[in-house]
Amino acid sequence: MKSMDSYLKLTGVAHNSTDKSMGGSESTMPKKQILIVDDDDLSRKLISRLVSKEFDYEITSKANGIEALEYARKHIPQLIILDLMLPGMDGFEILKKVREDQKFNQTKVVLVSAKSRSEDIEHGFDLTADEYITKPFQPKEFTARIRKLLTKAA
Amino acid sequence: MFDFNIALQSLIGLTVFLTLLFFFLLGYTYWTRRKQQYWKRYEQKFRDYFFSILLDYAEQSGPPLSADDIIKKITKRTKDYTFFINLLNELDDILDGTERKRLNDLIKHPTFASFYRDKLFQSSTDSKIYACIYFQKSTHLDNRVLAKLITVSKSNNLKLAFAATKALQSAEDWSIRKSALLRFFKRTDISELMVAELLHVFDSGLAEERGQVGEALKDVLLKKIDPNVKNIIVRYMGYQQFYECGEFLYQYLKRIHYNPEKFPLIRGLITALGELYHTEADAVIKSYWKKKKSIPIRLASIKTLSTFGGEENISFLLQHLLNAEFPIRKAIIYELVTEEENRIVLLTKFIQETLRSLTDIDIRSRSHEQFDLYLDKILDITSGIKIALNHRLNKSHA
Amino acid sequence: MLDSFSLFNIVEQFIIGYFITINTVYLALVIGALLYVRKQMLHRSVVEADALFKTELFKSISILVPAYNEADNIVESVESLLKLEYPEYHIIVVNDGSADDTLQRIIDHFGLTETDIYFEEQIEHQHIRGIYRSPNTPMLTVVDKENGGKADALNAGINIAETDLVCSIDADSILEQDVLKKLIQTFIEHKNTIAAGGVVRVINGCQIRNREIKEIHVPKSFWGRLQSVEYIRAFLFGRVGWDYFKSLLIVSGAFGIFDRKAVIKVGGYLTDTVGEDIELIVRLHSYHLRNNEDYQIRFLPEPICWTEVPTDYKSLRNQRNRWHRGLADSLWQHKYMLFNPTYKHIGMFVMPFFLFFELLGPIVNLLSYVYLIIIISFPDLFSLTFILLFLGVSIIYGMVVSLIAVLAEEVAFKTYSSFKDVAILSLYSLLENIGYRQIHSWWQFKGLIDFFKGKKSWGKMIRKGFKE
Repeated sequence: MKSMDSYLKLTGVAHNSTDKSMGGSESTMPKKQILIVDDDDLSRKLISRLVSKEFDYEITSKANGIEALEYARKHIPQLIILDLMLPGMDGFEILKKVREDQKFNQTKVVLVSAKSRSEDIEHGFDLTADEYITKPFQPKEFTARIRKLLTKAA
Repeated sequence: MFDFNIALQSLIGLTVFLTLLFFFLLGYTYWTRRKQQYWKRYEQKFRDYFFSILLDYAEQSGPPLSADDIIKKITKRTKDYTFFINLLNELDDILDGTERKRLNDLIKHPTFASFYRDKLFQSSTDSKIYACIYFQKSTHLDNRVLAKLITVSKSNNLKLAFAATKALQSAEDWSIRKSALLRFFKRTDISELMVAELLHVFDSGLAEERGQVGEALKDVLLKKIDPNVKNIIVRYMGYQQFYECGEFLYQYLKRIHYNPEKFPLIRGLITALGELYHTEADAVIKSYWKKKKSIPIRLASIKTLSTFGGEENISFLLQHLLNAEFPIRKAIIYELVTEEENRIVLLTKFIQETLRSLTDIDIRSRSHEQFDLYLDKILDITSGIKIALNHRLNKSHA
Repeated sequence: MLDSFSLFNIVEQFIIGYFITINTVYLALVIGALLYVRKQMLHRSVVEADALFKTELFKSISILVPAYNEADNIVESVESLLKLEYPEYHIIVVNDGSADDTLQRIIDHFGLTETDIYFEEQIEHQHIRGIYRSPNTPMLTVVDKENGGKADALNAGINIAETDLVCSIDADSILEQDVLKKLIQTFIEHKNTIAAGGVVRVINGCQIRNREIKEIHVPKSFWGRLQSVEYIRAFLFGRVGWDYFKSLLIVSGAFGIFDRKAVIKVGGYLTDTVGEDIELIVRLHSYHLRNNEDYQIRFLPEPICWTEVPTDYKSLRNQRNRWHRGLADSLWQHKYMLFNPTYKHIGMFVMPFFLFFELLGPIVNLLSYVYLIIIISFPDLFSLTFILLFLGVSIIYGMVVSLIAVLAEEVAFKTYSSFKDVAILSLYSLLENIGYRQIHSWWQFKGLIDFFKGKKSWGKMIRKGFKE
């Protein structure tokens, strides 16, 4: 039990910041949002870490496709980072729904997926994804691409 | 007759056992679930803690920690090592570039290497398998490990042998990799899917090793192994485009000793020659068509001849349209209709000729049934063409 | 007097011997299965085969979904089937002449248009009225055909499919997302696998939110809970046990995966039986053993498929009646295999076991209760010794087997989300042996009688659906 306690103490800060939103209360000036949707815990954490380090946005992450879409409809994020294989509703379907909805005309969507098959990428761009990133990725390239999108949006 | 006392005693015995079992089950469930919960929480904390450290290390941001510093942070629990390696492997699947390389170097750290070497020498199959899986990711195998892996790869336990053979593929010595592959392929209990998996592990995909891989595969093909295994090797060479092996495969097909056991291999060779665009092979393929009536072999031939193209090959296919079994007819129609346009021209010409020949047929010289059969075939072919044309149109619309 | 006395003796010894044998075999199956499952799960990572999927040499799969009056479920089912993890697979929905708007709903939802497929009828089935596809969902094909029953619909699907493997499921089965990746492991591990099944579990009681199974609990209803114990004992560890001896005779109709060519070779599903799933497996055994071809039929001890079980008395009775008729029919059709050495262990051991213990078991069961009633009601015949022994070897021993099965499930899988579920299950594993087993025998007995009367209909099941 001893060693577990030591990890508990050590992880205090790093742990709290991952899946929860980062600072900024909603009642005062709402911060711009980024929504990360991935069913894999580690990918979600990793992307969240990369993005939160670079950009001053409120970051939320979801694992289930349907939940993610519900959340997005309520909060209209600036950017959605979407995995393709998701429980509930897959990335393509979410993207399609987002594009059909007028509310989201300012929202950028990035597809992230382990699939590197060209037809998937094509299908993604057919549905007007703004960017398609395949796993595994280089962190620097990943953030660079996100930055390009966000500056374009601003 | 049964004895009353024995009956009573066994009933009581069983009931007592049942009661004990019942409470044991409840106790066991409660205890193991508590334990599991503890370890789950522990693993979560462990992962959270090392996640930041590892990423800082990989990105070379944060405090400058060396690999040794990080590994010192791990307590000496056996589970910790497993958790740590798991986390590394998972990150390895997501990250690329220099970050991934740094993490990979961590996986190969001597601490883990010696930890898993000990496991490899334990007698339990489980430990050996864990070790094999680890060494598959590691590249620096010392001689003791190599020798042990070779022994393990000869095991009667198929899964263990498979794991060890995969691990041996990370050896630096090329001949060790190749002989491990060959040794495994000589077994009689392996599935074709295992062969495919192993070939992909064997072939690192590096451009500088390609020549070597091709040579090795050719060598394996000459050995005495199951033709079904050879079939997979040949298919692999075909779709991975080992062009430099085309001539070899062609000679192989020419010389193959023909028997039904080798049908899949012949089919594989024909398919591969198509994928490698070894057009010289067309004559041999056509001779196979004439000699033997195996449908799978003919299907492969259709695909390959169609890939080769050229009017001669296409008219060869057309010749067989009328008198072929359904799957062959279908394959020929699709090759003619869904590829380039001039083939459709050839097909139309063929239909016109057939129709003309219809008028020439002396109806009285054939029986009614024969004539009906002939007409049915033509009808079937035209409906096939119609459907295939539709697919072509749909595709170009989509 | 002496003669009749020794007759009673023989009867009693037979009854006791019978129960000891059957329960011991089940106990052996459960314990053997547990050891095997543990080993299997530890070594799973060896055959996970990531590299294989980077080549083109893995096996392609078509999922066949026979749908008869499934308008409420079909769209949802297909939507979730489209999300399985596998590099290349197709879905073929076969609308078996539904009377409701099953076909229309699926056409509307996916924007399908009528198309034609050039194919050969390699196995017979009812007339196909139309085939529908859409360029937007190229994985999906919908076949509309005249009504011919589940087996007939599956045959049509097998004809249309062009993949190496076909996978037959019920339209209302819920599959794990990685089911295909898991099942292909069986084909990797065992050379020449031609059929494989996996663990089917009871979904009643599970919490589904946003198309995801969030929590796994035992069903709320009495009949549902009894069946949960039964599924663990018979369908999980029973089958793993048989698999261990390479003697699997049943692959559940709710989920099975087959080599398409092998199924076509033996002529597809038999359409005029209620036990088409068992019958096909028996026929595959028969064909390959007769022709001395290498083959394996395996069971993957991993949860892959969830199914809704009937929760009312009547539906359950009909289902079990039908299953028993199906078993009777399958054994009857292949009675030539019994004690025929050509069919090796299947003919010499497995088929006889199924005949004497599974098929005729209910008769012995019921007769022993009749006998019990007789000796209780005639003071002359009353024998406390026999009653106690009977109680021991049939009921208490049965409870021990059921309880060990629940324990084995907990040791191997820990499927259920909370301690409370396991506690409920262990109580029901005791309860299962007083009352339910006896009624079950009665249903099966009636099924046997119906079989001899030539009754082949399916019997209705009231579906509740999974809508939240």
